[in-house]
Amino acid sequence: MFKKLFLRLTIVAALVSTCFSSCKKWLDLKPQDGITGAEFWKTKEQVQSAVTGCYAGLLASPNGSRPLAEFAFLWGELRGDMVSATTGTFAEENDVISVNILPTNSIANWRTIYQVINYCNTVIDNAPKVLGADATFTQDALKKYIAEAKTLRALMYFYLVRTFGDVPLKLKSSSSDQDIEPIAKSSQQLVLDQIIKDLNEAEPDAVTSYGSQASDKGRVTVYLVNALQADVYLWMDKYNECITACNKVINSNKFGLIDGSSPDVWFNTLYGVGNSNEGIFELQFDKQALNSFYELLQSPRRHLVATPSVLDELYTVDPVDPVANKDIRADGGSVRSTDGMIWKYAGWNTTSARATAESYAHWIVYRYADILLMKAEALNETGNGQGALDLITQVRNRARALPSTSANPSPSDRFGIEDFILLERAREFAYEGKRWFDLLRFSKRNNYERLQIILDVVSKTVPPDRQQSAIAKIKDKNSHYLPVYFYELQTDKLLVQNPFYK
Amino acid sequence: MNKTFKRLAVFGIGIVGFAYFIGCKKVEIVKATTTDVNIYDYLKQHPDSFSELVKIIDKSGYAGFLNAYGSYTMFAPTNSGVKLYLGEISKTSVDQLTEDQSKTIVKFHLLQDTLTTASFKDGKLPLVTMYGQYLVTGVNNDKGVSNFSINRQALVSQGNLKTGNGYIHAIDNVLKPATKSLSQLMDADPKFSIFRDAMIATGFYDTLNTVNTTNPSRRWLTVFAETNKALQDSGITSFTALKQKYSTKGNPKDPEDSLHIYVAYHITTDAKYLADIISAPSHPTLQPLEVITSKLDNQAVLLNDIDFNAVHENGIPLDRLASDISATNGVLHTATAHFRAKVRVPAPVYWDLADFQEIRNQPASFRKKSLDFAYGTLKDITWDNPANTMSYTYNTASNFTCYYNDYLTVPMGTTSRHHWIEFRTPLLVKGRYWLWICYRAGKGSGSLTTTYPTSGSNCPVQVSFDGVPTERPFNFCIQRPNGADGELQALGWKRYTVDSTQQFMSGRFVGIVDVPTTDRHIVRFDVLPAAGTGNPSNWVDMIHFIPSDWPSQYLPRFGRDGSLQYY
Repeated sequence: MFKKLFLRLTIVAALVSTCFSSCKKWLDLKPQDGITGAEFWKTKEQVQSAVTGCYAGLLASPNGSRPLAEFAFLWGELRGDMVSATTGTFAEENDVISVNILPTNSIANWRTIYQVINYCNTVIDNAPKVLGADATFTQDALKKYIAEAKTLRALMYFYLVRTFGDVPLKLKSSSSDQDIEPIAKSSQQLVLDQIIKDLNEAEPDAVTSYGSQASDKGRVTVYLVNALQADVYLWMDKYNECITACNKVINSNKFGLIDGSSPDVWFNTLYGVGNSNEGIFELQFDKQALNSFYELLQSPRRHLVATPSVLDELYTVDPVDPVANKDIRADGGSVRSTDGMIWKYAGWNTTSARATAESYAHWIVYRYADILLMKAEALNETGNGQGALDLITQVRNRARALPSTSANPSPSDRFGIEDFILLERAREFAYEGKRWFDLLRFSKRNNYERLQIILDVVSKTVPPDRQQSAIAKIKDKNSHYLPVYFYELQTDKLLVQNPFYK
Repeated sequence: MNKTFKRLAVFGIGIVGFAYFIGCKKVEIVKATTTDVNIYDYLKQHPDSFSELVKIIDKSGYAGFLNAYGSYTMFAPTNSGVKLYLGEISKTSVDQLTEDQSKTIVKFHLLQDTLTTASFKDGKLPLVTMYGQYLVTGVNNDKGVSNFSINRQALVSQGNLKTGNGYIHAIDNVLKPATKSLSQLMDADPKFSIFRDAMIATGFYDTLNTVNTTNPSRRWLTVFAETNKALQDSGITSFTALKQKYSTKGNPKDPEDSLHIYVAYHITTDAKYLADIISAPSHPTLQPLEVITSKLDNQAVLLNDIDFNAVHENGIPLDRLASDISATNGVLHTATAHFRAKVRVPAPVYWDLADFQEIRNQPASFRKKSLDFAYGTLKDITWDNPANTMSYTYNTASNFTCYYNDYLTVPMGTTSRHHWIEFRTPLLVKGRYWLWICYRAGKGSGSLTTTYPTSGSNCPVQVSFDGVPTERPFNFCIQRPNGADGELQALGWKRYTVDSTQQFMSGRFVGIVDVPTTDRHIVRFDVLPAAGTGNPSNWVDMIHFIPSDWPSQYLPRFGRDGSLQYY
């Protein structure tokens, strides 16, 4: 009997001790190698690291997808007329060049962008909670962080809306599987309105300076908000608002054009090192976070090179003194003439190239020259042709543009000045991911008043045996926007494919 | 005991019941590797769109293989498309089609490969339908909406439907195969009446009226027919006038009669749609050894738009809308101007290798300073090793008296240097030519001789023209001997430069070549094994093609300032 009791006691004791010793780990469902939402969002440092995460998202390439800068390059340049295919070009890239895009083309995969949007949404949703939890976190600091997140979200949606047209508008964060729900597309107009709303809310709270050049060029400042406003208003054909936004940047007197009298110094300052006085917002690649342009544009098996006509026809060459008298943006600026290499991301100065491990040229999202030319465009559309021409001249003089590329339109010739601005933008922002969006914006203005602009481009760039098909395709306005990637259609049943790609 | 039995019984029932619960679930064994249906089943599953087509397939008896393993592309007319077609042939239902008609329809809509819309170009699909005719693709824009068009008869309403054995493209009408031969097409169109009469007179009418099944190279033919207006623009108002102008032998059926040559020059082999025509630089015609050249100028397709002897000859534009017309045996195109095979007399071509488009695009370097070109950046010069460059060299040294002071530096050898280099020539008129390689002799090590090098660098090179090796090689490490011009020529040498003192400057005769067609051809240098690692100092300046009956093989001579000397 005693024996039995002893046995029972032993068993109970053993059970109890096991329970005490390890029950914490058994019953605890929280992950041991991370932090859950309930434990996060307690201190202001955590808010800061979440905002930093948004910026890290701009450089990252999630799950083997392309990073944002590469998408921005491909979306802006492949359908333009300034890059040519090589033997190293991927089939997917070739298909975009020849207006032959299928929904299975991963260049139409928008997940990198939506990932950043989700990071921004997470900050916007959760940062206000910290006000109660951390007494040192001020209302003022919160506003600044929210302004950063909203501006980045606006920038992301602006890329999407220009590339895809109608896109799903997601303004709430998803942090667990329960948050995932099918979501339908919103119209282009609705998305643009949301972008403007975000920017207008961010503008009063955004800072003018963080106290260091790198942060001022790599983080959201009020000047990025204004630059974005200008670009978005221009896209929406709202010229007076665009001019107002440009003036805010110009009148801040914080920016200027980098002097072009020494091409080597100019290139090194603006593109080689970056974060110059001309830059407004640049993606901060560095030794730890390389960009993907070495493989794409520089390596011996580079995918894309400059079209030969860029040097011959866009910049032209002075036949008398081609060495001393040249556009600094031409040979050694945008392109290396001997092999057509796209030079902006490959060079340190006009002649020496980056090594593989040095491929961290910044991706310039906006710079001062862009503000000047956007303002010129808006002035021209509002009837101030002379004002537009003056601004173009300012940009051309810095670059020592050749007289042969000066169109000299009359100040009352609206289309003439439009053509001039379009070409000057091509020269100034060659390979900065702007070309296709410029072509489309000029083309679609006033209800596709000048569709011919992109028809002419397509007839030049598409391989001869597809030329006629491509021209007929591009006459369909839906073809100006990329298809929804097939995987998104499978997982979100509310999404409707762009009718051109059915 | 009883209690125990009861317990056991309950336990037993429990086990049986448990087993039942486990066992009642039949294990689903996956027997197929995919749940994708095949083409026929897909069509059956979508009766809203394809029930009429399914009836046609059932009637044709092809349902079996459309559901079997394979790779196909099917253009599937929707129900409304089939109705439209039935209306066109005055039938009310699919039942009224005969089995043969159904077979024709299915075969003409089916290709034995998987093609997505990404492979649709401006012309024919890469392979024939099972019916035996090509399908033509394109894009049609109607009121701002673009769709792929197939054979100019139907639009793709939904493309790239993937099934287990291929792709389906839904189309809004039934495709109808061509029923007319090339001759019948021209019969039907009065704007070709003069050209058609020339066809009849020369006997080509009958050739183009049959489907040649015995000679595969003549199964498909392509005709560039001239309109009456094109002929009238050149002052030819009737067939009589055309015959009078060209028929030199009085018998147009004679292959040597110029009218026969004129017509033969308008026909090329293969089914060549405009996309195919602009994809190749030249096309052989039925007139032996005569080619038509083609190019795309902005959006215009031009034939014979060439530079000859530094004179530009304007091309003949094809009428895009009235071209690409399919026939049972080929394709018909409409030429909007009169053209004929030109009689050209062979003329010497003094080809400066250091003058090509890409170096002309570099005004800072061209005839000013040296420049290296990376692999793949030159249109008309190619070589084997992507790691090597092509070096344009500018040199004013007194012992380099090259034409315009420039030449190509082409180190060749059997290891890391160029193994071979290919150059595309300027336009050469067909005929017999002496081929001269003009180079500046040099040796990386050792001293130059006029005989085969026994020490130091050695670099013998075999030249070939269009893949045919020339009679003799030349050697970058052998310089020209001294002697009178006639004496040198007898030995296969010439002094090609104005400067008479430099023995380095060597013109070497490598053989007589037959240029088969008036076209651009390929000259190739292959380094010979005896070269070993070869020679870095290979400097090639010019290549001369001089007709064998030309008065002089060694004049003119070329100066470093670009001047020519005729004595």
